[in-house]
Amino acid sequence: MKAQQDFSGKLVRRAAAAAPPSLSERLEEEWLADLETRRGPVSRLLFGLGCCWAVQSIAREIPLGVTVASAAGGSAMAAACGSHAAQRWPRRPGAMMVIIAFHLLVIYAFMSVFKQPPPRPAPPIVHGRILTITQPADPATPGPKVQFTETHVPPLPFNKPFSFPPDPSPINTYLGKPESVGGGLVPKINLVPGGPGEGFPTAEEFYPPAAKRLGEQGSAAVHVCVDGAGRLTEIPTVAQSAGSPRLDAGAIRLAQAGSGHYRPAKENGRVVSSCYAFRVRFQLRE
Amino acid sequence: MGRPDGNVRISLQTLHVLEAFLDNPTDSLAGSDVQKRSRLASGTLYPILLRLESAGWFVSRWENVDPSSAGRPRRRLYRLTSTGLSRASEIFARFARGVPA
Repeated sequence: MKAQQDFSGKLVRRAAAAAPPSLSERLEEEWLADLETRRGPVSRLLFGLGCCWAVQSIAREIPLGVTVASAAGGSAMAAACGSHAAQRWPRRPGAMMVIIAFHLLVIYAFMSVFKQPPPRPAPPIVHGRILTITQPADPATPGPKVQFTETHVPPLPFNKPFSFPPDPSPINTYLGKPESVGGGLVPKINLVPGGPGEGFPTAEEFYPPAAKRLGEQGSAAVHVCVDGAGRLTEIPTVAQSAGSPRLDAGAIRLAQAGSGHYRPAKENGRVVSSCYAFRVRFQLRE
Repeated sequence: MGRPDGNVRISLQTLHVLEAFLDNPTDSLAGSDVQKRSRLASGTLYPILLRLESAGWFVSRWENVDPSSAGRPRRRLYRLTSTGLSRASEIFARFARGVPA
């Protein structure tokens, strides 16, 4: 505190020395006396700085004897209260604007630093399971094999558009409980395809008479969707034409008439809905 | 500083200083006393005091104390002159009537 008091006193003396000579002595004594009424170090320092500011105005308003003595002092003192007051602080609003703009820039920089949002916590690590059902290359193998693989999916990157690369292989989700086969997690599925069942009408019954007269023969593939009771769930369509619209129409009528007589597909012994195609052959008898 | 003819630029801060003296026009006040009443910074207050003094609105003198016996330096005391009192009263009367000074 003692040092600050001394500094304030020196500041006042320095300011008074910068005043016009006719007022220098008087202002020094007057300001030092008023400084004595100040108690706090900050208050004293502000008073000293105020005297420095005051002497600028006084030096500007008094036309005579602006020449001031340059007293020896420390660099901090010289910076706080210059000796050539009138010359150092001319009435230039532009300079003041530059100073104000600089301060605003510093304040804005500080605020920008604190306005940055806090970093978001890293997303939790996702453990995913991807099940791939692949059709066996050997058609003799009954039913598809399901390969179960457990994959560790890393967290998604931040603020970066993420897209999955296209995967040419078909990916299906298997919701059933995998069976352990041969020490590995490979479930076995026994799939029995459906087809025309008991009581299904014959092709002879639906051979179009016009086609018979024209001697048309051939085989059409009909695509049907059947539920677990053997009934059609969709309108049958021609998957492969017999080469004659009359024969194709006869095949469709046969497929429609056979609803309820289809043999449903079975998966592991359980009837399931399925879609498949079967052939209807129209052949004239000798 | 101020002009001898008594024409002084009247700012809001100048009015604060005059108001501090008009509370008791015959009192002599030191700069620190005026500062407490007007709540002006020293950088603003002292130029106004000197300006009004050079314009003839104030007179100043040293306090009649012995610094060694008082234990403090003597202070500079300011007092309103009759010119200053009449001009200040006139200015505040104009304000009371709503006419700018």
